[in-house]
Amino acid sequence: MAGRPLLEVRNLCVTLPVGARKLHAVRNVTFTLERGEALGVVGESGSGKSMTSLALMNLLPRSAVREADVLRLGEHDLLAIDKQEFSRSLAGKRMAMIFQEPMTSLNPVYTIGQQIMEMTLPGAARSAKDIRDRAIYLLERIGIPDAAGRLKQYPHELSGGLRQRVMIAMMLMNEPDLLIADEPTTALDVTVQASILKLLMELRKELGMALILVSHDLGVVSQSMDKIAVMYAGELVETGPVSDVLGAPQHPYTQGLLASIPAARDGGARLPSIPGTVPALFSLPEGCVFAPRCIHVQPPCRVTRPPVQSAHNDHLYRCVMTPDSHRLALSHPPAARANASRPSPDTLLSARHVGCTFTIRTGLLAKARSLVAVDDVSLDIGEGEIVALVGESGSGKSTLARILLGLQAPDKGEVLIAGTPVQSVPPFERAKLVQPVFQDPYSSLNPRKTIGQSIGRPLELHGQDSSAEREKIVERTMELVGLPKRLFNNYPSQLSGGQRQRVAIARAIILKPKLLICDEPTSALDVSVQAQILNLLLDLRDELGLSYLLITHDLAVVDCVATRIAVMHRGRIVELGSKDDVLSSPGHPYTRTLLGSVLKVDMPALKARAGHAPGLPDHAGLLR
Amino acid sequence: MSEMDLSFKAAAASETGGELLDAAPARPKIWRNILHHPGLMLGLAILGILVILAAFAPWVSPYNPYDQNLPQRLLPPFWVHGGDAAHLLGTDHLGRDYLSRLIYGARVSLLIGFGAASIGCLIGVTLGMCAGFFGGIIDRIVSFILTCQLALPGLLLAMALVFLIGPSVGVVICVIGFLHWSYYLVVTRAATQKIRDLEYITAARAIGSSRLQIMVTEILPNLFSEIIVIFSLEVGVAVLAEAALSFLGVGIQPPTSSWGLMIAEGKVSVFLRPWLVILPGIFIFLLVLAANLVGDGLRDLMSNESRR
Amino acid sequence: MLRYASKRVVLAVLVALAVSFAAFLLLSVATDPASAIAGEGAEPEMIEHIREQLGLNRPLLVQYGSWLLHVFHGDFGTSYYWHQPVGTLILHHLPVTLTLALSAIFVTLIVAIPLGTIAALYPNSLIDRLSLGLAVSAQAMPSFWLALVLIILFGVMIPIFPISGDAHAWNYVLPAIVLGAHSVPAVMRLTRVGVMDVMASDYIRTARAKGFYGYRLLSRQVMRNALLPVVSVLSVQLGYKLGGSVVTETVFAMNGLGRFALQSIVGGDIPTVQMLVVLFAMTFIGLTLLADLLNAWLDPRIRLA
Repeated sequence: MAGRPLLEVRNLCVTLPVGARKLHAVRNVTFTLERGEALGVVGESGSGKSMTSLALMNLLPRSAVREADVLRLGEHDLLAIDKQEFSRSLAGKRMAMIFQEPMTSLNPVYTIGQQIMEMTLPGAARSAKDIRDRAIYLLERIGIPDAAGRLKQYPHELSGGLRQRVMIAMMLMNEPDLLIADEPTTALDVTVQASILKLLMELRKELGMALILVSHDLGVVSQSMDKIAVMYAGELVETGPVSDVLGAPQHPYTQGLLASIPAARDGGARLPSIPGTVPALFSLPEGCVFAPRCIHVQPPCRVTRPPVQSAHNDHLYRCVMTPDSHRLALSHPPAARANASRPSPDTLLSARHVGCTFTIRTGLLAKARSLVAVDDVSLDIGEGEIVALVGESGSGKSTLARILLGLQAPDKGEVLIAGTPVQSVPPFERAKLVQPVFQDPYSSLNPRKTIGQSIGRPLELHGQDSSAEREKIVERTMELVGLPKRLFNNYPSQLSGGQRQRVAIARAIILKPKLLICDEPTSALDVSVQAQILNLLLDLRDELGLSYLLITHDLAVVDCVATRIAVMHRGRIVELGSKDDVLSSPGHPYTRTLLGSVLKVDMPALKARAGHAPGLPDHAGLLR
Repeated sequence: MSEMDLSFKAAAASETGGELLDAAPARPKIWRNILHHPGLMLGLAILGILVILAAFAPWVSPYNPYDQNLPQRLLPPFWVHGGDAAHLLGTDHLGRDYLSRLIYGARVSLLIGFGAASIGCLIGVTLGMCAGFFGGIIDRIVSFILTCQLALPGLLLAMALVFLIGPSVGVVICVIGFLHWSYYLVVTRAATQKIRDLEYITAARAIGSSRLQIMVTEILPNLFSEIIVIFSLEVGVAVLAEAALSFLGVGIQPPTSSWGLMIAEGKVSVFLRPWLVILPGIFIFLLVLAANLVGDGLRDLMSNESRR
Repeated sequence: MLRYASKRVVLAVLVALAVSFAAFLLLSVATDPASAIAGEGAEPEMIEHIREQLGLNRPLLVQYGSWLLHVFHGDFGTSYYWHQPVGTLILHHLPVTLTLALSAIFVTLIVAIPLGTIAALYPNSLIDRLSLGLAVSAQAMPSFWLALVLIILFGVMIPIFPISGDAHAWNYVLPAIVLGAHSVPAVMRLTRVGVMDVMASDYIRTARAKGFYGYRLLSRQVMRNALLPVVSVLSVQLGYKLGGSVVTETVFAMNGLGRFALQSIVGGDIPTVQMLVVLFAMTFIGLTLLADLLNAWLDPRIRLA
């Protein structure tokens, strides 16, 4: 279709004042979008992708400053239009947005119906009946049965997935030309995620609507978008058709990102990863923003900002390297250890028919309900094994973890550790056998204690060494997990998420336990940091002879590091077997659904479609 | 394979996850933050002055506050016609120097303010932590006690108890303290509940800490900043409560100089000699204002610091 | 909703019983009315005789039980001091206090809510800082001092309002200001925080994305959510006013319950004081119950649970 693109953005910049400093959240972002096209904006935390979408919708915080050379939607100049006019004629009408947190994005005091129907301004061409009919039609279209009845319900009566569907229906009431979706499925379970994305794609085709999908998940973006834009530290580092960018990535960051996605490894080989962490941009860097972490960095990179180059037609990237001249930009993992630990036949932890039921009492005089959290679970973990426990939210995996740690008594069955029931082992002894690592690096450390104090607390509690000896042990442990010694007296608030997780791991291993129970240890971390932590866990297994129970919902992680898999659903273990068996030929229908819902970056297909560079070698081990 | 000519240099060092950019600053200097907060500085300054006056009262005040001098009674402050420079702020109805009585009044107010706030702190924080940490039946019992305490008309009961038991500084402190712990409890309980579910508490249990150890070493340090804020505000509340009691005649009794009592004594001639009422009121106002400024200032600092 | 309401009512009754017992206990332990009545220097037999007459020599629990029984039958005891039924005395003084309390709440509302809202919408502006300053100052002022200052200003210097008595509506202006001023800071802050929190919430961001802006955003999306907590606080404040009006009534020489309570205390009139404490507590409990129910009704999350 000839004519101007629907959305034109040139040199969009967003600055935020933070205290006395200014944060350059978005810098010189330029892209276009045709009618009906789908653009995926990908980046990790701190990349500026959310800020970009908020900037388009005029939803930036009041103190933020938005500047651009061109910012145009259709015939509307978004820079010139004033806020009131924008709200009146564009927001929710020609361009709409859905957000990440469906649980809190709907007004709790109005019904669903009221919130959907108020999208249309009073005095618009439609009659009230028309509006209501359209609302019901949309609700049914998005898969909510009994739409007319639902109109009277309040948001808190709906689940997260349903609320997100309502948001979509709401935003489509006026058939906008452009829909921006900011991480719409991140907060939802994997199975729900797949269906919501499918819905978005269908609706997009039906309405001929352009879509901008912001996500950190490359798998999601690779399956359904036309174009992709990769952002790093506020800049657009690579854009182009999806197959080109992901099949033949040019920018070192994109390459590193793709390579560090967890996937099958041979014999415990390590994941390639991008060293370092995403910077916070308080001052405009001289030179390339990725230079400090780039393996291919050259002197000019640190001095001047690289120009935008074109690899092929629309495939653009900002780097000095010429197209296809460079290979993987990663730290090469050391070759897999020849004598990687093989699981020995000794059983470390054994759970037999464990059951746990909660009684929920909503008030002083309310009736008690019982909730079965764990139902007849039997699981053995041998020395040197990495057993992955896979389940979605509500599957009971966290409760099971607490039971296995000995922190909660099961109502039925027993848990034996090294032959003795874990409940009867005195706390200090138990602490030396099994330790936890949790998901949230922000709440697993006491904010009032220094790193040194947190790591050393187990030793202090067990009172075995003098304070000077303790300090030495703590320092050695810090080295082991890859924390610089100078952080000893720092507080958690001064560390990044990845560093905090290392502290949590250090605290867990300092008593030299045999088994670590890790509850989603990398889910809250960026993909590049995730790879680092997984590598660390594998290293520690080899060096200290640790075994793991790894609880996760991420099958890619499982694929990468686990030896055996147990799948948990509604409190029961529905499948248990070696990793290869379970992943290649799952027995239970739930496992099959789970495997089917996972969106992966399909490298071979992308490469086949990539418009150029046929000779690029495969990134090791990315074949699925 | 030789094309895969990758550099190892970054691998070894940088796998450590050390920060390559934006080195984290040392622990933010609390003192610098305080200096930048004008309200807090003002509050601390006023409080400081009053504390010094009270502590050094015998040396600072020109006269003994109990010395009566009837021929010199009801002199106005020196700036009003009829005033005498010997008595800067005039004298009261018994000829006692007003300035001295005001300075000694600071002792009473500060003592009662801090004393009552401390008692309330002890009761409220203990109950709040237990309720928040243990939950279940203990929480229900404590919540019930709290509801009952809130329902009691505080001022009325305080008046009755102080008057009936016998008005003295000690009794006033105890009665006010025992009636003003609800704020501590509510905040401590809510904060403890939030912390109790955090993962570092589970980690502490996993390494073998006992419940008491967890409460004292893990949870309590995280409550300090909130407790201090409430403490400052409660000092103000206690001072106002004592002033009201003394004003109504059921608190501190003469001849002790309490600011509230002085206002009551001056009330009879409020139209002719308004300074008898205005001056002590200004002092009460300053003390409570200072306490509130400190409390609010600390609360501002805390919320700024907690923003990661 | 019905279940929620009945639960709250049962709780309220339990609290009322506990409170009345606690008050009873405290007052009985704190003093010995028999010797007060007998006067100074009376002989032990006389005191003992009076004690027997008043039934003060029975075990505390029995005394409490008997008191409770009487209360249920509408007999609130007889005042030692005024020699009249306590019930009558209370009814006589109630209207003044009630009027005063309601006017004070009105003053609080019209000052605190608009100020709080504006302060929240323009944070760190001049208005925000001024209103915060006003709040901090008003909170630090002893109410009796404020009352006296107002009396000097409006009674003497610019005599517009009457400064004592309770005969006409005008009499209530100054006392209402004094009494209301005390809760203005708290309500204003609550409103400010409430509005700020709501403005920063996800669903307001959604509303903006839907095209809501300015006044329409405020009135339709923000206020209903922001004022939810304020509603319950106001009811509680009303309770405080009823119990805390003693100072205001004393200074302005009004014949309300507060002043009456003070006189009873000073006169050692235990039955009256006991009844007043219980009465105020019950009113407070009733008002909080009302606030809870109102809150539950307004918030669909609770109403439909």
